[in-house]
Amino acid sequence: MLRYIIALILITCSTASFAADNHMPMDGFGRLPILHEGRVKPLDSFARLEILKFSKKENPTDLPPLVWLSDSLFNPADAVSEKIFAVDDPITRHSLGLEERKKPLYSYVELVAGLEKTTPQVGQLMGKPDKSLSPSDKALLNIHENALEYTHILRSFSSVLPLNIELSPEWRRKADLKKDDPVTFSALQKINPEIEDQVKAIIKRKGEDPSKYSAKEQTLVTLGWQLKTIADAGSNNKLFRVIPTGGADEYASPWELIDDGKGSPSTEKALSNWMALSDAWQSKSLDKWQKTLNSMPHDTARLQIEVWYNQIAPFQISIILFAIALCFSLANFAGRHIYLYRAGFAFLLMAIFIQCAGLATRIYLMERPPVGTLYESILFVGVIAPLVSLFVERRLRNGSGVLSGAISGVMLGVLGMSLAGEGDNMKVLGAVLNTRFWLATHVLCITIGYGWCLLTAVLAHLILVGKAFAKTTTETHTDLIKTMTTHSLFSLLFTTVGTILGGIWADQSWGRFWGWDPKENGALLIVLWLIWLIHGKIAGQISQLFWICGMAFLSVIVAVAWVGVNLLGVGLHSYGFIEGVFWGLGGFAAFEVLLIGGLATKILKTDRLMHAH
Amino acid sequence: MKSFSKELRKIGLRLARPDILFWVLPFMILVLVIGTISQKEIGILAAQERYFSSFYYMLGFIPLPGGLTLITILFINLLAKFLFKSHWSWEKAGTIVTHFGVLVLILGGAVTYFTSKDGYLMVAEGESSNIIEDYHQRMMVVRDGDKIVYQLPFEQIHNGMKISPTNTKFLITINKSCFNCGITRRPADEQDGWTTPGKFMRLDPKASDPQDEKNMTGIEFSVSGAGADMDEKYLTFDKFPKPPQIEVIPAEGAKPITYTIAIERKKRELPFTISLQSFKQEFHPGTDMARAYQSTVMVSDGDASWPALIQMNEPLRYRGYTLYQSSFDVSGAKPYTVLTIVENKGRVYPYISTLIVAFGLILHLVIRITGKGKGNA
Repeated sequence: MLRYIIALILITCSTASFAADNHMPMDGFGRLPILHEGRVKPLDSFARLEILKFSKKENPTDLPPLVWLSDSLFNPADAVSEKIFAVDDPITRHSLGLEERKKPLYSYVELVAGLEKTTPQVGQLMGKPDKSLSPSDKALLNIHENALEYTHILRSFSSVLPLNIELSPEWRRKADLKKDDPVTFSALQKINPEIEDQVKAIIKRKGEDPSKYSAKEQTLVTLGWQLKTIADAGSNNKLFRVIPTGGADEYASPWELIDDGKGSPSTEKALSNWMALSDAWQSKSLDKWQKTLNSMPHDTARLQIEVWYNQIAPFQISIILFAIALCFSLANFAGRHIYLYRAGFAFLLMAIFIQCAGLATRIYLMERPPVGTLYESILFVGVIAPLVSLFVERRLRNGSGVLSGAISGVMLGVLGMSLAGEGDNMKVLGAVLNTRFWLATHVLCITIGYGWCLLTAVLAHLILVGKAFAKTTTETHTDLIKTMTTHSLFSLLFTTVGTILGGIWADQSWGRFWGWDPKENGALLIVLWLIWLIHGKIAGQISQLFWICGMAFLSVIVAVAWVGVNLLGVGLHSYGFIEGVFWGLGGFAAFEVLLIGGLATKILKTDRLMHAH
Repeated sequence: MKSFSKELRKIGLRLARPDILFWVLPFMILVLVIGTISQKEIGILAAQERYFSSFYYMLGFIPLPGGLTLITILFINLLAKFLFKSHWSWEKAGTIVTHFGVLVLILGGAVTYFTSKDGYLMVAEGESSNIIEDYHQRMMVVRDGDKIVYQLPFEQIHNGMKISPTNTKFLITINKSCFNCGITRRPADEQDGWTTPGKFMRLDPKASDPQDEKNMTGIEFSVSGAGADMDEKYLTFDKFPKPPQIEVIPAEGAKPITYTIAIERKKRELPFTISLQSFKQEFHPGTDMARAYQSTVMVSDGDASWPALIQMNEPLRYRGYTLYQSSFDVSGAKPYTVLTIVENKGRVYPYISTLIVAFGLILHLVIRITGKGKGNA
């Protein structure tokens, strides 16, 4: 079957071959709309997401994603040789018969034989429950899925692109094709029923052995087979929905127009524009390319802003700025120089500004409050904790706020990058989350609570480090503890109110205020932890050192409540078990236990020595 | 009298000791962690019963206080603190208000725990219903037509039990019962004395599903005293479309009565009727991911009828009942909507307590930050 796919690619659009450096200006092309995964986005986003999905990298080849996409659409015969498929698992590479490489990236052509060989195995794996699949099984399924998706891209326009088919003058006349008109599947639709009837009649008359057919009959049967193969391969190809069909969010793929009978004069016009683009790409006609793009209605502000968002990548910039702020801040603590302090502060402010701008852009693009998924909650907490650090700095004015903001910014930025995944991170939400009111109240409140807790935990770490290594004066130490105490109360305020608001949302949606769902319990865990420490401190049940250590350990409690409970795979907030996250969380908890325990031990030893003297 | 109030205050002060809270909270954290992790194995409902709604639970061979015990202690401790140990001063105003909010919240939880009832109502498009089915409670029911002549909660049924339904002449002997049954083929050598479909189907106990609604409860039983044709072995289970029917002639020459023996969810009636006019699902464009579910219903109460819309996050509230869009079935010829129906006298408490707790915490922070409550937490 897969060999047929290659044959198909060669039939479709093989009238010319083009150099890989056939790069047209991509600005207008990148802004064209596509309906993908439930939302209309620019082609720029689509190209980036697809290449990231296939290769696990944003730019695996020298070609920019949009150029790779254009090549795949308009020049598939060459595009299939681009090495874009990552096969990281050695067992899967072996199963597919792939050679070992330093970078395990392979082209579609290289994969085909292995995909064909492993198709029966994949059929068996698809019948098994997900839990019983090994990582290699999943990798094999994944590469098959990616290859299938890529064939959909390659064949997006196979219904309207010129075919490498010889058509007799008789059939050209019947299909209303002039001498120079390209032969396309779409144009042959008119004569397809007649071709089918004649092929059936030939088979009925002479049987299925082509050697018994006349030359004319052989040509006709071949044509019939080619048309049927293209139709079979194209049916159910709904990935490339770029043809507007009416409503604001209604788009169809070229094959859907044929399969579902959605064709109309307006879709015909849109298709002809795409064909003109294809022609311009193949003939390297810059003028035609630009002219066609200008005639396509696409340039909405939202699409343009999303393209800018993709190009600027604000959250990557903010991580770099947080990291620079961290370096200056650490240098300031080592050297105590006002310029270092100011530089750190300035970079922190810039990072917060960029992070806020990124979030504001996402709110505009998604038309909803900023937090609806785990990844989005990390982005939001990534701005809350550094923002809170500004209050700390305003109060202390000694660089502790800048340092804590930079640390939290870098850590949350790295966490966000690791959990961004390989799909669209501007996802549409399911029915129960599709409520702006609760996303703007409960979700924001609880995530502000997470951010505040993390900042408080970072402050507690700074206190421990300062005390353990005698880097802070008694006055600074006291100020830090007072500030941390105040922020622990803010943490309690937001987590408590957020948790109760979550209960009220549950009451509105599911008919019960509290259902002991893991996520609800996680939020309650933070509240109980804070209440325990705060009341223990007030009642004199715990020492000051225990109080600080407990606040430092709040980072682990928040991580477990925020990310960890989702790994249980039960309840209404379950995202399923993610092995990497499990080990990452375990490693973080172990690191924190060792760090906090080590610092506390050192402080106790130092105190004992001081008392002894 | 004076000495009584003195004694009461003394007891109150003891109950208000902060170390009670200090030692209760770690146990609460422990039960929360254990109860949450256990949900992966035993499901939310069982974890709730074993850890959160119990007075104690066993950790290996060590008995530990369950959620109910801990919340009760916490409530008494907080109430005693509120009544006998609060410092009624401006500096402590935020703390006092917050503590009061938590008391309201726990009180609301208790009201909900003791009074809340839930179930679901399933109705097809164009049809009406006022029957609420319980999510969890199963009953063995004997019906004469639509009339229930006998019913027994499933948890009271055990193997070997003999049941003689009221005013009937026959005796039912329970041979096998399972809360969650699997269906297997009955071997040929076991088919004697069985009627179809029990002749070919066998119920075997399976481990309970963590999601209680998914458990298929069933029984295998023998009937005697109903006449030679009817004295056979039968089986029935929850949602079985053709439960066994026993035809009995009550007296010589009398008209026969047909009894149906079924396993059903416990049912109760709503004091009003819901008619489903239409059910609509909206999808995100180009996907099969729903972005909204909507049931357009007609509510009929006595002579009055009016239309209402029930959708995700927007329930219908009427006469103390709240009707939520919880599920649907569009696989058949007619779409069905499934509405969760909750009757909860304590539902207003969380709303009030949120406001009180938020106000109290903000007040406490304002007093602390403005320096009017120095020395406070």
